[in-house]
Amino acid sequence: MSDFFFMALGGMFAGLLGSVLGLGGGVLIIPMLTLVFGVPMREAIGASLVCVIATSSGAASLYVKKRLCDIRLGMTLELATTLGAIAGGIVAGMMRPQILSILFSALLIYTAVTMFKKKDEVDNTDNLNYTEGSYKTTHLPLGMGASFFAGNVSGLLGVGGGIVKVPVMYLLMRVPLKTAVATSNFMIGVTACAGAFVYFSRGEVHPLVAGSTMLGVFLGATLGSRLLPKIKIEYLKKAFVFILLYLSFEMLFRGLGFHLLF
Amino acid sequence: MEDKKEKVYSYVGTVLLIGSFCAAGLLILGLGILFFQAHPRDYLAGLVLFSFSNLISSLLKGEPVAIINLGILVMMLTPFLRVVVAGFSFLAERDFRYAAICFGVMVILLFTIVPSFV
Repeated sequence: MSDFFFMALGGMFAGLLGSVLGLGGGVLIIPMLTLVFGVPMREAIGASLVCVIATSSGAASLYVKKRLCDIRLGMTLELATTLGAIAGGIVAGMMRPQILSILFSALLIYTAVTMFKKKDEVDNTDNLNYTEGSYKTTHLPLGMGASFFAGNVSGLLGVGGGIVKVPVMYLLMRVPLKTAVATSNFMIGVTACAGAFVYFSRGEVHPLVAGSTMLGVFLGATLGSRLLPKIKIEYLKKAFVFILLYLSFEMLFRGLGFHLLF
Repeated sequence: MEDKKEKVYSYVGTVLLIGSFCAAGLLILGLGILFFQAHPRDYLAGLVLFSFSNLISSLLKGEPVAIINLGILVMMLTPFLRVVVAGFSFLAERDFRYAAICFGVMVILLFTIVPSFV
């Protein structure tokens, strides 16, 4: 039973850190569950998807009420992300867990690189309030294709996929950054829902693993969004890049059959 | 028109908020009972495969794991519910294009949700 208590604590830490750093919890939850608690890879992905739904729903309800996200654009792209997530979930069921682990390690490196390059654009330069319809989106078909891929990553590896969706909307479709972030967050819940049920129907959403982690994540993310305006995150971000790189090596070696630390 | 447009946002926001707090409440209840149980069973052993009839009968017996399962399901269904709510709000606004898109997403989701329950 104490395992689950620590899973909830770990989830809380992941939720807190994730919301402060603007990451979905998935990037942290899967390494935590597999490396620390020895949960099988696919069960960790299932649990992580449930956690992703929880963080997204909490954050999205705020964004939606503040009219920060574009529901129409989000819904349209969700046609592609849900299909992608289902495909990803099915493919994950056919893959060896080791391969998933190696792919996840690549995703962690990508996340680390993105974090290293990213400045705090969202908080500083993009303070204009955009409302739906005040900008024109471009490249919708290409955006849909990229969204399918984002959904795929989400369903295959158990993350929200915001790291793919935000650049797609911002750089490709010319959506204002703040709106892109909020809309991505809004979409993540539905995308993860599609993927989560694929794992659920295979019996890979373990009630206690998923339940305790999700409760922790939910509490942590709620706490984090309150703390967010009060803390300086520049140094935290730099430090976090190293943590991500470390986790990436650990997941890679685990996939190849070695154990580094745990 | 402007007034109605506001409603989609506020309905969807409310669904998300209620869903996640209900789920968290159920999880606290279920995990709480489990934590204070005198003789907890070893739940980590083996996959606990879900079946809907099983869930209802164990819920009626007040089994904590069933309560946790229900909490997880509520959380998982919350995004689905918000697609449904958005679809009907668009329909009420006579915004048929986006209503159709919402129902499209709904159908895709049903393809994964329904097999989980049968």
